[in-house]
Order: sequence, then C-alpha cells, then structure tokens
Amino acid sequence: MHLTKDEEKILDGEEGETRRRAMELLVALGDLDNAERLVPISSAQVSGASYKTISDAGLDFLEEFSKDAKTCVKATLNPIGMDREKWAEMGIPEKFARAQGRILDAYGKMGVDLTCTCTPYFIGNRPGAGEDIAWAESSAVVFANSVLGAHTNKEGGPSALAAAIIGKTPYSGLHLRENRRPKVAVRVDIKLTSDDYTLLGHAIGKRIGQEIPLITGIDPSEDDHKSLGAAMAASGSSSMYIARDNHSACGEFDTIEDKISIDEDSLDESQRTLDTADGDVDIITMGCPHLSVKEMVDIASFLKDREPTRKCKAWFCVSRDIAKRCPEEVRILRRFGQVACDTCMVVAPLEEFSKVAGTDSAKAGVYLPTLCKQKVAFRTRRDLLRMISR
Amino acid sequence: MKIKAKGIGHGRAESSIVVSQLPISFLGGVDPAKGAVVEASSDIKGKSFAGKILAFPHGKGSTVGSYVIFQLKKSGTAPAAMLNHKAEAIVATGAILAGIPMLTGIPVEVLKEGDRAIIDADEGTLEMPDVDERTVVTVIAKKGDKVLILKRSSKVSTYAGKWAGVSGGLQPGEEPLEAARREMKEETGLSLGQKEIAVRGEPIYARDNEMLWEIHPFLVEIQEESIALDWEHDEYQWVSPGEIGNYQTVPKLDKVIESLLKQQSSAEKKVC
Repeated sequence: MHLTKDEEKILDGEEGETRRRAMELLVALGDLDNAERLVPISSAQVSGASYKTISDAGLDFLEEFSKDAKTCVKATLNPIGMDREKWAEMGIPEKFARAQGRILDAYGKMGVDLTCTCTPYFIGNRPGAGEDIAWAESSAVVFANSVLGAHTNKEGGPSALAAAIIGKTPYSGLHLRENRRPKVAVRVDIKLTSDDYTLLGHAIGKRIGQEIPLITGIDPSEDDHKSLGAAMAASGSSSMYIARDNHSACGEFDTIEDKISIDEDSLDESQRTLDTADGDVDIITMGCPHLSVKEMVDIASFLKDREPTRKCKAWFCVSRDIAKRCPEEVRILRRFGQVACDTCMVVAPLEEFSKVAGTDSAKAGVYLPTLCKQKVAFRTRRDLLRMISR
Repeated sequence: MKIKAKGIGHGRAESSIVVSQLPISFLGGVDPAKGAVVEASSDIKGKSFAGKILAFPHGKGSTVGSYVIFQLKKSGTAPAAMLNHKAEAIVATGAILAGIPMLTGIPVEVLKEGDRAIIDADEGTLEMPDVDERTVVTVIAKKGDKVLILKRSSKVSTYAGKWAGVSGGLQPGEEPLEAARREMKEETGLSLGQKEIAVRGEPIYARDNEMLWEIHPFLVEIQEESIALDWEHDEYQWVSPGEIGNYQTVPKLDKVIESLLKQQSSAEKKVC
C-alpha cells in the first residue's frame, strides 16, 4: 500500500505507540484487501461496546488502548448491554453493569460520543452522498451505503476505532465506485406494508449472500429502509443494495445476468424460519434497529387510549437522543414497558431473565436464538402491541 | 529452507510448530487461560499453543476473536507467532492488537507438528532449519484432452518407478521457466516456443519427511504425439486427467494437473 510521508511517520511510531498500532492495523487490513492507499473519512461508527459481546477480552484491550488514544473524527458508538441509568430495573446483574461502565469510560476517554446506538444517522452522525466513512454496525453500514450514498465497508470494532484515531480507512471495497454496482437483480412483485420490509430483507439476504442487489418494485420510507437493510445484513452479509420503485428503470434490471424474484411465498418462508416459539412470551421487544421519532409517535398513538395487560415485559429500544426528543411518547410507552435507552434486545443479557422473546425485526429474529438463547415469537408490530395492551 | 510470505505486524519468533488443518474460531474455540484449542471438532483439540508457532489455514467465527488473541497475549498464553494460508481480518486484527508476528500465504498443509521454525514478520520469511527445500519444475504437456505422464526409470535418484510430468530441479542461477524449457527438451526431445507455454501456475508445495518440494507447474500445448525419452524415463502415456488416480504417481501430480487445467479454462473464459 502506498503511504504518504505523514502516514509513514505514524507507522514509525513518531506519534506514539497507540497511533502506531492503529496505523499498523489499517495498513495490514488494507494490504489484505489490496487497497492502494488510505482515504480520509468524515466519521466513524464503532462496534464492540456491549460487555456481553466483547467480554473481559475486549474490556482489557479498550482499557489499555484508551490510555493515550484519541479519536480525531466524529465517532459514535454501538449499543451497550444495558440502559446506563435504568440497568437495575432491567434485571442486569451488578457485576455486568460495573464492567459495562468501564467499557463506556474507556470509549469516553478516547473521545467517542457515548450516545450508544445502531442508528447514528438519527443522532447527528449522518454523512452525505459520496462521503467516505468507516462504520462497523452492519445495519448502519447498509443504511449509509444504500440510503445516504456514503461509502463504507463493514468494519470490525477495532478497525473502525483505528480509523477514528487516524481519521482514515483503507481505500478498498465499497469505497471504490466500481465495486458499488449491483450483481443480482431482485424483482419484487407484491405490494408491501411496512411490516413486510424486514421479511423482504431477510428473504433477499438469504438468497444473495454478499452481493449487492438491485431491488426493483419497492418504494420504502426511511424506516422501511432501516428494517430492510438490517434484515438483509443479518441473514446474509451484503453491505449495500439499490432500490427502484419500478422494474424498468433505465433498463438496469435487464443488464444483470443473475436474477431472482420475491413473492408471497418467499416472505412466508422467512416468517416460518424466524418464528420458533410456541407458548408464552417472556418479553416483547421493539426497536431493532433503534426506533425513529416517527416510530415512537406511531407506537404512542396506538397505545395512548389502551390499558396495559402486564402479561409480560416489554422493551422499546431507542437511542437516548431520540427518547429525549419524544418526552410525551416516552411517558405513554412507560405505562406499558421499559423505554430501554443505550441498549437493545440482542446485545443485552436477555438470557438472564427470558426464554421466549417477541420481536418484529428479522435481524433480532436471526440473533436472539444464538446470542440470547431465546425462542422467538415473530409478529407484526401491531400484534406485539396488542399482546401488551387492551 | 526459507520461504517468502506476507508479513502482518512486526517481530521475530523462534519455536516449534503446532498445526491445525482446520480454521480456528478464537471466540469460543480457544481457552484463553490455557492457550489451547477447545473446539470439539478441532484436529488439535486440547493441544496447547502457548509459546509455540500456531499454524492454521485461516480464522473463522466472531470478530470478538481479535480481542481474545489480545487476551491470550496478556495472560501469557499466546502463540509466539501465527501462520495462515489466507489471513482474514479477525486474526490479522488480533495479531496486531496483541503484537504477535504473523505470516500469511504459508502452505500450512506441508507443516508438521514439532517442526522448528523461525518467523520474521518484518522480512516476511518462514525459515525451517531442519527441513531442506528443493525447487523443481513440472511441465504438463497437453494434446487435445489428454496429458502426458512419464514413468521414472530405476536410474533416477527420487521416486523411481513412479509416474510424473516432465520434471527436474533448477540448476544454479536458473529461472523456473528456463528449467521448464530445458527439461522438456531433455526428457521429450521437444523444443518449446514462447507461445506453447499455456499456463504458469503458482508454486505448489509437497512435504516428504525432511524435504520440502517447491513445485513450479507449467502447462504446455503440443502437437506432437510421439516423443523421444531419455534415460530418466522408461515409458510414457497420454491419459485423460480423470485417469491419473489409476497410476502410482509422484506426490500431488493430480493436484498440479487439476489446478493447471482450471487456470487454463478460466483464462480462456476471460478472453471470451
């Protein structure tokens, strides 16, 4: 890889051991990816924040690394394993909470914004088209590439952190325009409701693996995009899609050799794969990815004149910023369950108190069985809300 | 012997090798307290790699594996170095966070447990002082859909009686391509023009006790059917690649032929 004189200096350790190591990581990963050089980034989004996922290994690393590391571009953090204020109420063990607090401190020391969310684009980390960024959270990576038109590969936690410290990332993969062309054409011939987009993402991700799909026949809202991309990145490993509302746009569809078509059966198949529970639900969860203002408003307006049934716990997962912007909605939602900030059903230690979780997110449906040992009741949002209210 | 590879991170290490022929997941697959692989399906389950040179094809599993490698280092149970056939981001990241020298591009399948090795990540070299290396060429002549194999005579010093391609060691200062032309002329009487070299393959390695063969494979298209053998061979046959398994051959001949033909067909596709 070609390095500038300044980059060479960092690699030679002239700016300290931590920056040397961060640069070494970027260069090594860039070499593996055949990157020709590094490219400056306007923001980073760092994963590896929940004590549950990174454990003592990650905590040890972050505490050592944070001794003298500082980020030099805007950097936001993924959800952690608990609401940092209401963890006791959530049933989080104290030992977990203490370790989690140390992880937050380490990130804070490095200058990472501690609004812990998988939707950084709702809280001021919203890059524009063509901006190079280094993001790690898979659902946010898809959103950034596909909806915002920013350029990012799916980074690992350490590589996103190294990028935030150096302010650069290897210029490879989706940073290059020629790698951002669709390789599979996906024709959607059914009319979709907002509830369907997560199933659509799941069905597509399973079929395309890591390719970029051109999806025709859909006209998603921003929240629909959020559901679609998160699910696609969870069931497959693609980091980008291109959406068109009609099938004939510019004849693009016809130029792609590899074609698949999605119908009702495809969505039904995903529904059956995701829905693994029979019997009572211990906790109802919403907000994977974290809820938007519009979703908070929609949920609150449905629940406003209803009464809680208190049959099971409920978590509304949302970033602290969005919760602050919706005080009235938060007040309504709290009658029915917990407004869980900073965290989500996947990275919190749900297995400590629940065996069956309800969700309307295919991404959560993919990860809950493995990461939280849950059976999953996969339902529409409306159905979930009816389960906790009357 | 000493082979060149791509270095990841820094430093030098000297130790004996522990080798797994299967990918390793550091999160869940490794016990950081013991520095040992614990994954049930591993071919080195229970074996400690602390202070050893750990060789495996590549990493797999969770990205948290990078942090586990760092934790191994802090616990004093880390490998002294790591060797991969094809490094991916999880292990490469872990090696750098932990400051463990690493090489990628290593033919892990020819390494043996207990091999003494010296790794230099800055130079990008793997040295094994107890193992000798011989660089040889092997030329597969092709005519239509048949390939030429020759039976080694009793007068040759290695693999007498086995079937092989046109092959031989490099002479001092000789390039593999020159050696390929020379051996072809000596062993078949045929002179090769430039355009008859259809494919030059990546080197393939074969291990035979304390000898490591670095084989440079070539595929040539020829028109002639009958050839003139020298003292090194007793007979020859034109066979279809699928029949190689019926012959007693030198190590990896089937692999060499398979990979050359594959490269040739993918090169042709590109031209179309």
